[in-house]
Formats: sequence, C-alpha cells, structure tokens
Amino acid sequence: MRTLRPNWDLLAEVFAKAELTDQRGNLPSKGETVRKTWQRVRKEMRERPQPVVASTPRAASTHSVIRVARPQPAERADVALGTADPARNQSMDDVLAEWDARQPKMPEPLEE
Amino acid sequence: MATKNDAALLEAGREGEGAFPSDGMTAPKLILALGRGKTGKSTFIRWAAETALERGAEPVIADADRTNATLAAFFENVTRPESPEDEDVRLWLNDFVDRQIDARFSAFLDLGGGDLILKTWARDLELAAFLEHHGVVPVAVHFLGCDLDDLSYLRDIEESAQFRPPQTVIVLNEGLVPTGRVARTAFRPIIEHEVFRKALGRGAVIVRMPRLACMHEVERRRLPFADAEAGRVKAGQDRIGPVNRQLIAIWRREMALAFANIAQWMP
Repeated sequence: MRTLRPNWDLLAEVFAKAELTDQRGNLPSKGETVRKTWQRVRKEMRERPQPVVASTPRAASTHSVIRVARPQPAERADVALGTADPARNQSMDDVLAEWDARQPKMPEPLEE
Repeated sequence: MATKNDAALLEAGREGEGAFPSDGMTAPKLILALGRGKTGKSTFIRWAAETALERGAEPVIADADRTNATLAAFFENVTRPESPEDEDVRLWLNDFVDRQIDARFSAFLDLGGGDLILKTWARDLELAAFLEHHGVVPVAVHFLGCDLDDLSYLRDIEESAQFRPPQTVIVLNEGLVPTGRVARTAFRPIIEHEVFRKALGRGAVIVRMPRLACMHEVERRRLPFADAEAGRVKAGQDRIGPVNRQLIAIWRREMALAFANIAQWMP
C-alpha cells in the first residue's frame, strides 16, 4: 500500500497565508512546527475521555466549521497581549515582538 | 504688513502653487500631534519635520501650544497664533486650514498638552471629513506614556468621534518608561485598556518611540538631531561627545525604522 506523506512545509505556508497563529500570535514558519502540532493534537484526542452521556443530535450545518488546534504557549506568563483579540492589529504585534526581542531575559541555570 | 508667520505660509503656498495632487502619497497632509503634556509630541514633530526637510519636502510647522514655544526654538518660520485666547486660537486655526486647502502645503500642528480647543474645533468643523473633502489627508498622532491617565485624551477624541481619521497613529513613548522597568510590562495597563483596544480594533497603527538617553543634551542646545549627531553645535556651546553622538545616531536610525509603517502619511 502506498502512503502519502504530508508536505509540512507547504502546509505551513498555507496556514500562514490563512493567518492561523499560535497563542503568541506567531505565524507558522517551519513545516516541522506544524508536524509537531498535528502530532500533539492527535495525542490529545486519543487521550481525551469519551463522553458518557448521549450527545445531542446536531442539525446539519449549512457550512462546515473548521476548528484549528492551537498549541499551548511554552510559558503562560509570556502570552502575547492583543493576539486573542479578533481585531488583530499587525502594528501592535510588531511592537510586542520588538519589545520581546529587546527585553532582557532572566538567566537560565547552567546545565551540568 | 506680512508677518514672519505669514511669510512662511506664503512661501509654502508658492511651493505648492498649481499642484493639486490626487493620490495619498503626494496629497497635502495635516499631522496633528495629540496627547497630554510631556508625552513626546514636540520631539516627534521636530524629528518628523527634520526628516521631511532632509527629503526635500517643505512642511509648515504650526505651534499652537499655549504653554511652551518649544518648536519655535528649533525651527525658523514656525507659525503661531498671535494670542493664547481661545477665540484667537480658533480663528487662527480656521485661517490656517483655509490657507492649507488653498495653497496645498503639508503641515505639522502642535496643540500643546491636552489642549481642549482641538476637541471643540474638530467637532464643530467635522475636521477629518472636512479635510478629506478638500483633498488634505488628516493624520492623528496620539502620544502615550505609561500613565493610564494618558489615555483620557485618546478616549475623548475617539469616543466622541471628534477627530478619528483612518490615518490614526498611537505612539508608545519608551522615553517615558520608568527607570528599571521594561516597556512591555510598563505599557501593559495601557495596551490592555478598553480605550486602547477599541482604537486598535478600528485600525490605528501602533508605533513605539525609542528612548534617547541623552535627549536633554540635544534639547538644551536647541539643535536639530542631524546637527547633534554630526557634532555641530552653536557658537559658544560645549561640544557633544562621541558617545552621545553615537546614541543620537542609533536613535535616529531606530526612529526611521519605528515610523517606517506610516512614512506615507508624512510630508
């Protein structure tokens, strides 16, 4: 049987054009990031407990709804301000990215 | 008798005579610096006007600040009202805009910290729509420090729709970040505030204004930034050392980058 491998780099481009971002407002730039996100979604779906109550029948929608998984931020305290706002403003994102780049970081412990 | 102010306006008028630009790049602009006192309005106008002059543009600088004559100390031919009385300033503003529409020049207008006259003048005249109707691009540039009260002027202007053109810029002045704090956390109360978010939502462009640690060295000498960077001081002034000149050079470079997004709204 022949299996097709997704072109993760191409998917990253498609998602970037669709302006799908992580919770920090970053657009996907690497296929590898998209692949890892997809793996994480599958893992979480497998581990999610099945509902024990009967589900309510759902009428067919007139249009499909696509929900995009969003990876959790590495550090909750570092969630970018403004990116949860539906009215995304690129100039604000640029300013926040500039501040992040310039912000002095707390020292990390040295590895042994 | 033509005053010095009149001469500046007439000169600008001659420059634009016969030219009625039809596109946003060459159309005359009226750039209004708005906000509380000491939030960077005059510093921005000095930098932006200098930048425009270096490019060969000939903006008019109008200083209606009734508390300080800052810009007149840095530029020749700054046009100013003859008296600080409300009605005199209002008539001067009307006359200024009439001349701008006729003569097609771009201008920077500094109204002074939190001056109430803009609110009534802009409301009575429906200023943004009026300017657009006459082919002048209105540009609102709001200046904010880290103090929440800095938002009150933005709130008043935005909520009552007194002057909120599509070309609205909000400048976060890093020079006002308290020592020992980073900009991101210092500005957090501002950028999370509903007033700010609403402006963001309607498309205001956010710009950071970098800090110049040796700003006072430039200001006390009343120098253009380019001269300060080059070490050109006025007769009798002490020299500016290489370190401060380097800081000024870096600041000018950062300002150009920070305001690159709105370069098309400048003269």
